[in-house]
Amino acid sequence: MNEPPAIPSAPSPTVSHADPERWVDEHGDCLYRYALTRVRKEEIAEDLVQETLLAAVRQVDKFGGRSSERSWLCGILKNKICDHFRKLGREVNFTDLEFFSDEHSDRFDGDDYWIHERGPTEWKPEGLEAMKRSEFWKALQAALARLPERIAVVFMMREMDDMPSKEICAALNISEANLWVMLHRARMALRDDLETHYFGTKGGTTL
Amino acid sequence: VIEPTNWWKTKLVMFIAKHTPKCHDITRLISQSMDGQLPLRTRLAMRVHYIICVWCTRYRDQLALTRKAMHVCPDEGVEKMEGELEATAKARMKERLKRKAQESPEHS
Repeated sequence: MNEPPAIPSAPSPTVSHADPERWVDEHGDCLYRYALTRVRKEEIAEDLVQETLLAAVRQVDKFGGRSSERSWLCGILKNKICDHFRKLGREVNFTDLEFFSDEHSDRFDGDDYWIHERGPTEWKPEGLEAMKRSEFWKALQAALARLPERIAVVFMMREMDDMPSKEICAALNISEANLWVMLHRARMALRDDLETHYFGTKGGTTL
Repeated sequence: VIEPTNWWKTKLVMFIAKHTPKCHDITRLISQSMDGQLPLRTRLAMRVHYIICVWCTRYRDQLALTRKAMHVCPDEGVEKMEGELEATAKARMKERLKRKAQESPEHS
């Protein structure tokens, strides 16, 4: 670790040109936070971060600096998280059709049109502006934590890992029709949560 | 009572509402459209529905925003979220990394 940097023409097979301990200080919290959002259990999140860093040490030669160190590490972490759920998917049934089964029927009238006062409100601040604010991210983090566990797993695989529907179905052993229902309800609930707790009447505008 | 100038407009809105999917169905279709391509006919019907329905239009845009946020979350969002590794956990990790480096320097 204290050796001088390796000469580029003769790269050392050791970790002399990487500094895994610095990774812990610089990226540890962010990786952990991300893992915790995904798996919800502190011990598992910590283990996943540890495994990620150990794997990163082994793969450091492949990291060409094309992306930032953070996104490289995060990419490894994402794979670890997917493996974790794949393993779980063999034992646990991830289908959840109980959650939110009324799909906001109180917001629609008898003909299934929005009741005007209960339809989606205009969001302020608008999209990209909101994403610059830390309050928005804290609200999103809280909203994700409020989704039922299985719904959250499926939803985050789809939206954060950008995994195709078919792959999710295969990995977690759920039917495509049920996946659609779960994703639809997750999106609806998350939108609703953000509106209530961040945008909506108070949240965003008072900032 | 509808003003005479608005009479045609109202009739048109009612006509479109009658001939496109209901809002509740539109929300389901919006979600489905985010996971795969819908038939052209359905996509067109949705387009026409948006013309008369500000709520479904907002719903669509807000779902798109949520998707975008989820997508950039690992790179941008986590920075601003809450939760930290305890100092002891960090020390534990460093210790294991150090041991790993010592035990198998040639391993790749």
